[in-house]
Amino acid sequence: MRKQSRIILSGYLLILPALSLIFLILIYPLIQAVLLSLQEVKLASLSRQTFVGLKNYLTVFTFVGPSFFRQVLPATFYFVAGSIAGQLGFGLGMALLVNQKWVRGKDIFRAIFILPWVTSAIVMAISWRFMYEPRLGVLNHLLVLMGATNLPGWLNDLNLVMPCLIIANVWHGTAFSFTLQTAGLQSIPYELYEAATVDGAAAGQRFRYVTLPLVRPFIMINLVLISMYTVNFFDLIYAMTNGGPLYRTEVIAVFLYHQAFEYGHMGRGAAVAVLILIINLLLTLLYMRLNRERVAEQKR
Amino acid sequence: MLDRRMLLYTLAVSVCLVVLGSGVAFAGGEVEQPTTEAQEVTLRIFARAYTWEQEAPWEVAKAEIQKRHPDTKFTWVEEGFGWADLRSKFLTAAAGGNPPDVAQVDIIWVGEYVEGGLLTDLTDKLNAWEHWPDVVDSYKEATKWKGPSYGTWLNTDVRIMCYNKKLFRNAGLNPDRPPEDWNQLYDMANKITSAPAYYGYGFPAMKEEETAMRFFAMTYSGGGQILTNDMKKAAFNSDAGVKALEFHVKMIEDGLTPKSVVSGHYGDIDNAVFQDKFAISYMTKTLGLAKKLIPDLTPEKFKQDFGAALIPKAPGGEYSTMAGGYLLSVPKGAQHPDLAWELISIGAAPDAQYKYTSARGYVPTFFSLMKKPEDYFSVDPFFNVILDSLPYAHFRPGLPQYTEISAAIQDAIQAAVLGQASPKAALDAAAAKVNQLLAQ
Repeated sequence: MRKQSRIILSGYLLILPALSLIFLILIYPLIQAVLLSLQEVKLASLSRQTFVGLKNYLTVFTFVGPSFFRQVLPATFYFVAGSIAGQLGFGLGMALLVNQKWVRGKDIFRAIFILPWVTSAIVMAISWRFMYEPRLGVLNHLLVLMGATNLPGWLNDLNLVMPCLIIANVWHGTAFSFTLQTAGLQSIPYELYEAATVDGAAAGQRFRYVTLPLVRPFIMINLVLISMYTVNFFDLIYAMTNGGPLYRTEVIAVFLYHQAFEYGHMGRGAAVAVLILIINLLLTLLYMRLNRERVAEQKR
Repeated sequence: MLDRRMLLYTLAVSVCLVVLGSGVAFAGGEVEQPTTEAQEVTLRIFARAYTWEQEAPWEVAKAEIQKRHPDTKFTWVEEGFGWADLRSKFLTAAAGGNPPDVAQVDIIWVGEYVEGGLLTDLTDKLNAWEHWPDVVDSYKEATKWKGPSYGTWLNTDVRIMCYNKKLFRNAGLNPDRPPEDWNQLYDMANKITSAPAYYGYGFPAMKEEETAMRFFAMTYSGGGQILTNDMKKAAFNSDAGVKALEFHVKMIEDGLTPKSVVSGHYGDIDNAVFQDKFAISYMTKTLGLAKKLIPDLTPEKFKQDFGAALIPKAPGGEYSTMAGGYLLSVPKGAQHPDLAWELISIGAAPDAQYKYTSARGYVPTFFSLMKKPEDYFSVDPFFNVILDSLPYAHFRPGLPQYTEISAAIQDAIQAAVLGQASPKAALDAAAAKVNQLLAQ
């Protein structure tokens, strides 16, 4: 019994360094953020903190210009949903294409496809902003060459601005999905496709009954990662629109920045950070649950 | 199975990691002891990125201070930022207990910084400074917050109207007769506009401070103001403010200004005047901007193609413009406050200010420099317009809440320009928000 206790104790001691690091870089800041969210504190006077309980959360929920529930959350989910659909769809599509046996120069394609992912978001934002510029931009210049007269305002148009951002983000993030899906596709033994072909499966059926179930875990991981990444996404939007016009692109990360660093309400900013964490957790739980249900369904 | 030595070893490693980690985590809060005897001094400066581009103020000040302290080895940590980043980086550094020795401070941030206990009271040093009596009185006053002064001016600026004479000529207008009031401005912009090739009038309506600044200039022209005199209520939604915004909305509705002004950077609009895309805009400098866009531009050629005048006034109103500018200040907690003040007193002295303002086309704050405008004509042929504007200049309130007040007004301008609310409704909504902020 004593020997077993010593083994257990030594096990805990062995993981203590890792746990200490996790505590220092993850748990401690998290606790600090939660505590800060319960304080009234300005960036210009961080040492003066007053405990206000849940007041910062109430202020965030009742904030006007932008309204959290009518503007920030819808903008966030619109951006996240659009980006995920685009990145996942294009990523999988491109991975499927490059994975075809008849494609030559796969390595070159992979290198080219990864380029947007390694491009700095600020450089990318400036490039896209220039393309969308209504008077001098490339897009409207091409439209004029094609004879268009009623030119879109792109980033100035309240209805177009979010799709414009999503397109830019999809261009940026598809490479990550492509890489992950390529890894998934390469893990599928080719014999399975041969067997399916021998059994008379058409291309669509091979995709549905062989490819999709086997890349499913990769899609799930991809979904979780890009969801979290997109919910937290800041730099591209900040540089392209700064949340405007009229808060149409004020996603939650930009909202946090404005509250905490532009207006200096650190407590309120921390409250928004906690809300982002909750959203991320909920999204992850949702995906995990969906995946578990699907796996259970397949086993039945 | 692990023996006792292994267990002790693991424990020791863990404790070391925790201690090391804590040290790293809290290192930012430690205060470095000032160097007095080692004769090695590191001075950190937070300033706008463009201030590092010419000799003055920093190179001039660094050379002089080195001359005065030959036995000291100076190490300079020079950090340059954009406008918004300068504030957030300074606040973050100060909050982390690691402020710079010298900070460039926009005049509207003074209240916020002082209320946060972040700036050193320089009143005594300024009163003892030989050049302080030479600073224009209104500018001296603007360095104060609730009594004490917190820095001296690096420069000020005022907005003037700049226009494109080529587009005036194309429309059959006399390029030497720019608009003097809003009615004339509308008529001329109407004649000039040939959308989408070029437009008669450009103004910023994006979410930027300059959007509010130019709206304020027009509001003051109609007899309005930003806040009430006691600074406790919004006043920009008065008749004068509404008329100013209605004028902007009309320019958009009638196609004399494109809707694209709600996004991008305000500098794009100013630049567009020199790119023949806008005929008229308001800006703080003229030739300085144009030179970056037009190669080999001489002052003579510039005067031939472009003009400048006071910002057109509201019908029946007064001329008006907005002044801004920067102080050089010593943050509280600076490692070397005395050397920092010495650096400032050199970098913001008349000689250095002349070099800086003339190189960038900004406005000096010393009587002695204003009395010899001819020195500036070689760098800005319209410097007389800038000087003529000074008597009509207004300052924004340097309240701690100013950034949020301005943001609410920028929202109102965007809402009206994009047709989401009438100018009156948009400004009233902004005023309600501002009143809430001021009540806090």
